Amino acid sequence: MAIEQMVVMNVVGLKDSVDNVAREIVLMENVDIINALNEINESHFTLTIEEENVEEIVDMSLIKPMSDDVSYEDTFKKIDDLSNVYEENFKVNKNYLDESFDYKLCSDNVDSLYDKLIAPYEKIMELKEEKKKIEEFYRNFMYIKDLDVEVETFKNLNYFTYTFGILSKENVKKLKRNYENITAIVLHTGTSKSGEVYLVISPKEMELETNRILRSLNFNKIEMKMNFTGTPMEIVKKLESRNQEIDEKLSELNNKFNQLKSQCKALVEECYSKLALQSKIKEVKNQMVSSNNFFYLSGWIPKKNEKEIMERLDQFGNLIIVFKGEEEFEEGFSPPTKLRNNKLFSPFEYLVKMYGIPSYNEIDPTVFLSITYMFLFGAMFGDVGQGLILFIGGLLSRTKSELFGNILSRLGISSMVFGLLYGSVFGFEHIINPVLISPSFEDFDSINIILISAVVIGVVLLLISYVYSIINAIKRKDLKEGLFGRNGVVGLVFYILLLILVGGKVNNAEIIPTIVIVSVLIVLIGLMVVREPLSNLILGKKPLYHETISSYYIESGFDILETLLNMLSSTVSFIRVGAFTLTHVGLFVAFEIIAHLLGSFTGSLITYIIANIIVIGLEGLIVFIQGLRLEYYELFSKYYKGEGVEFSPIKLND
Amino acid sequence: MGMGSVKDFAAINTKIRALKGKMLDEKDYLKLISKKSVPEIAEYLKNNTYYTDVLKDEDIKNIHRNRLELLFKKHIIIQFEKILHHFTGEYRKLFKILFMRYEIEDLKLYIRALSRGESLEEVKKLVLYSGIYSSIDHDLLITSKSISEFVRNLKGTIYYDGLKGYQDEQGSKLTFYLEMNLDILYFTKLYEQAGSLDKKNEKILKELLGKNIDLLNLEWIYRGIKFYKLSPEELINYTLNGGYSLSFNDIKNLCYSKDEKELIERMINSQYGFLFDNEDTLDLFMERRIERYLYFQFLGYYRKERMNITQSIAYIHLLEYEIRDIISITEAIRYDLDKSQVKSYLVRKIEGSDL
Repeated sequence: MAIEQMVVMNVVGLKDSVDNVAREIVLMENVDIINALNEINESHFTLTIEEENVEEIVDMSLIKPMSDDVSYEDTFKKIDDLSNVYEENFKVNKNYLDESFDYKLCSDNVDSLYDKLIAPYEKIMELKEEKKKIEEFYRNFMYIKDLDVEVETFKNLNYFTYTFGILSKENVKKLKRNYENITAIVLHTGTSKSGEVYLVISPKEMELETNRILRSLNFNKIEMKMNFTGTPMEIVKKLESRNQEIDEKLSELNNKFNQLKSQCKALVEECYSKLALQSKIKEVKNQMVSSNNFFYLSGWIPKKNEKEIMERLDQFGNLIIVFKGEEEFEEGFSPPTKLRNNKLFSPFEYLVKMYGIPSYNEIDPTVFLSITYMFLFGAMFGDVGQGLILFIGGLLSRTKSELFGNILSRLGISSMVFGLLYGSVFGFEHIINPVLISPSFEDFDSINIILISAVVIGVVLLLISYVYSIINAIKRKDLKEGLFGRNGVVGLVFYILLLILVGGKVNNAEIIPTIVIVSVLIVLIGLMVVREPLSNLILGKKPLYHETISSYYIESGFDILETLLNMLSSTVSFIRVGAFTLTHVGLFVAFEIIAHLLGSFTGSLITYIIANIIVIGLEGLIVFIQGLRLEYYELFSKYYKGEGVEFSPIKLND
Repeated sequence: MGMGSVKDFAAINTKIRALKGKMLDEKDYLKLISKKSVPEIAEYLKNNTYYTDVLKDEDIKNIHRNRLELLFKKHIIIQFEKILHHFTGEYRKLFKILFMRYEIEDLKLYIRALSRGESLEEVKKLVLYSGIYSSIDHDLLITSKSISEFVRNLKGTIYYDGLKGYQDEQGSKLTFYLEMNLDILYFTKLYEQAGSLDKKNEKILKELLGKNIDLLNLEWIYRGIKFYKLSPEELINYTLNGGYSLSFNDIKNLCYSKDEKELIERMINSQYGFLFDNEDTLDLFMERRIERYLYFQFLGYYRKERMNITQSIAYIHLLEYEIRDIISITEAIRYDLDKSQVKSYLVRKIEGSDL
């Protein structure tokens, strides 16, 4: 429902407890580490000046970055290789993290595991490599399998050279047309994917000429491994049997190796987990500084976890822990943002983050976005049956992508609710009675009602956006935009008056006299134009303009024009909600006509199934995107900046 | 999009007409030839021609020839991409192959630099084709220290297969082989792709290509015999199929000429006799003669044909020739040629250039 309150935690402790503290911080997975050197240099790292802190404060002038000389690189490299052997990325298992860490022991373990596993692994790889080669030879000899000559014969030729290779059709033609002048005998021996395979035999004295001619034909030579003996057919058989041999050997080796792997798995995981923790500890320590006797650590934590974190760190004794809350933050010092929303809305945080994470002092738009997005999606894609499919699809796809699945299932529910309101089930409009209105084309009045309601809904959403925008401006203490800006109070009043004016004209009813409205509108435009000098005047800030006066007014003038256009286009933009509601029905009507034309029961059934697949797949996607478009372009652009930094605590698995 | 009808080519051809209308005329070339320095040429182009846009952000007072050349090449590519925009399907493929030309020209630049023993770092400044349709890695290529390393670095691109067999050749013969193979690849691809167009466009494009192929074959045979002493069998295999007025048997007979004199004798009275009719300048201007012939061909096709693919293709080539001529004029300043000499190096025929 909101953005989590953050505090800065500064910790000072004796150097001998640094590893334990860092370890605990990693295991908490709730501290976003800040570089302590920067903090101290910029005097953000404050301790209360009490007698008991004196030593720590004095020492602070002697600080240097904490250095950790231990390098785990070699061991990690071996673990990486093992991860290739296991063909998986290891995950940290916290169960292994209780005991204390002994690097020597761990690296010895990794070494012995490595020695045990790598040899059989390499043996298997070698065989696989050989298998690949054999397959290549096999392919090549298959091209000439009908050649009833032993390959030794070629090797023993005294006056002739030979070569095998592939020619393209085009080049074969060229060769044939000049056969009478060629210095070689060319025999067709087989066919490959890229062309015809030929055996070329030429006198040794003519080798150079022949090679040049072949080259000019882009003759693609095939390397024949001639250590084999026998006819190509015999060689092919030999290769086949060798291949089989390798297969058998491989399966035997693989069996043994898999056993070995599962035997070693636990130890590998243990070593990996411990090392991973250790390297994270190192990461934390790299952000710390130390003096002769103390270490200094700084990080963001959620305010609500203050107590718990304090308690967990207290076990190491002798620590000074200071929390700095919002009230002590200096200007320009912006905390990271952690969103906190309940289960119903939290999946939609993803859609918010796609646009940008809110700043710390901005309202989290997740709830507003969730509700309106579900609403808009349902309104455009209202169908009990298709909604149910989306819902089930969402639940099922949670195993693949939890986030997407969760969003989809929620949209499905919304779609079902609107399906009831519209009386639509799998595209059919007459199975159940609509609770609200049927978006069918039989009744022109209902088409009008739907389109107009869409705009009205848009107006309501835009008005809410203005309120959000004003609140955000207040939180930013931004008088200029909050009061006089186009998305501020002046803009809101302007929009409302404009609506009254237009509404009055359309319905021929004057609620407020036009002349009054128009004159107020002009005054409001004036206020928007001079918003910068005006707000600076009120706040007593100098200079009044941050650029030259003429360019300010030119820009400001265009701004007004854009504001007007934007108000108009944003409002009208919501017509698409109604339009897609109707499209949804219209698309299905088209299929219904096809089904009727087909006449037969099976034909119609298949058509209806296809219709539903297309509507769910294609129109579902379009509506998904259009809804997002409305959220981002029409609504977010009014009230949301999303320029924050996400809270990213140090974690074991990331 | 069903290409081939008036409707389909109307938009692009209107655009081409507008572009063609802006190209330089003879008066412009005469003015350019009279200039004394590269900045003067740049200034003229900037103030009096549609190259204003190309030069607008440049410090033309101090502009260098290489810089100018690069800007113009960039301009061609931009125009090319604009045209490409209008085509889909087989026509788009065709234009992408046409685009390959520029890549091949760049590869040739590299190859020539390597054969002169120069470093490719310098050449890279003149190379700009590294766009979205390219498959070659220029950063890798420029690390090559020798031609065989260069060829190896092309592994994985469509150019590699045709070039890999020549690593043991030496000197200018090697350059000849490599360049010939690159051109073969280009024309083969283009000819194949022409076959995927609708009948009318296929016919007209193959006719155009056929004339180009004839000339290229003649150039290769002539040089192959005179300078590189290739065997007739080899020569035949390198020649391209699809010539317009030379059949395979004509080509075969030409390849078996015992020397270049015999070749010239056989060709001098043909329609391609212009290649060989001036013995003194034969080698120097052979390439330019081919280009000038093609220039007039393209101009003719451009004027004659309506509502098909030719206008776009002709425009692209005419633009290329225009820029080549401007570059030639700037080069002439460097080599201090007099006006009539400059004219003879231009692709187009300008009063006073009759070599």
